[in-house]
Amino acid sequence: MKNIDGKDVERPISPHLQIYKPQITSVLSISHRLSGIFLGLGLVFSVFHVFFLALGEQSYTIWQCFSNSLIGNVLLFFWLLALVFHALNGLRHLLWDIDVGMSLDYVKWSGIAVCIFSLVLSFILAILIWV
Amino acid sequence: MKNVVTHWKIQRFTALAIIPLSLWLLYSIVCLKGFSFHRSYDWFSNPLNGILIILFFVISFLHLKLGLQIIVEDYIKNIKGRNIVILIIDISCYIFAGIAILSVFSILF
Repeated sequence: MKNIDGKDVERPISPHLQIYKPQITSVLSISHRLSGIFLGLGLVFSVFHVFFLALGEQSYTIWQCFSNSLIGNVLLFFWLLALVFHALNGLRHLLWDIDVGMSLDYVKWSGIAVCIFSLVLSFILAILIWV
Repeated sequence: MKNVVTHWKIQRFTALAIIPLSLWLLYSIVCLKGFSFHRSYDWFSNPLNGILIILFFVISFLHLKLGLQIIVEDYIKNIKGRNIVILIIDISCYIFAGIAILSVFSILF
């Protein structure tokens, strides 16, 4: 990362996951990053999906052997879960940026709300897609 | 990315943009049940869907690139190694976004 004056900054290395006692705040923070990385993988898979679709029916059918398999569907479910979670928790971060919900109590409760809503919403999505 | 402030702003603006785009994407996934070839192809041939999926890919890859950069900066102490990893992430994001755009265009036209 470059500083405002264009110099490389050696920032302190954070967070020390092994030393830190897990709390809802820290667990959600690291989950936000992990779900982000996982969603990045999903984004790459969607590129493959569109790419094989563009190549034509034959290539698409071959790709579907994987994407329509059990593993493909399980992955899709977890990508949906990750997307809903990352979006809701991201919203929490955006609200903090405009100084909404920063009190310790609020941070804890909104964290629990994010977990519950992510599960409920992705369950509803799964029903809409697979049932 | 020029500096921390621009990085911070673009990270937030892309986040805001992805919210409506992913709602539309989820709606599309529900509509495309099973992702059969013809249904998916017809769906992408619609110019509105084509434009929205391109926007989704471009903005998401930008958001991904910025997010991964922060994670790398937090966990890789060696600045030289860190910059190499960030460069690889950047190039990969551009390549994948490019493939996505070309694919959607070839379906659209």
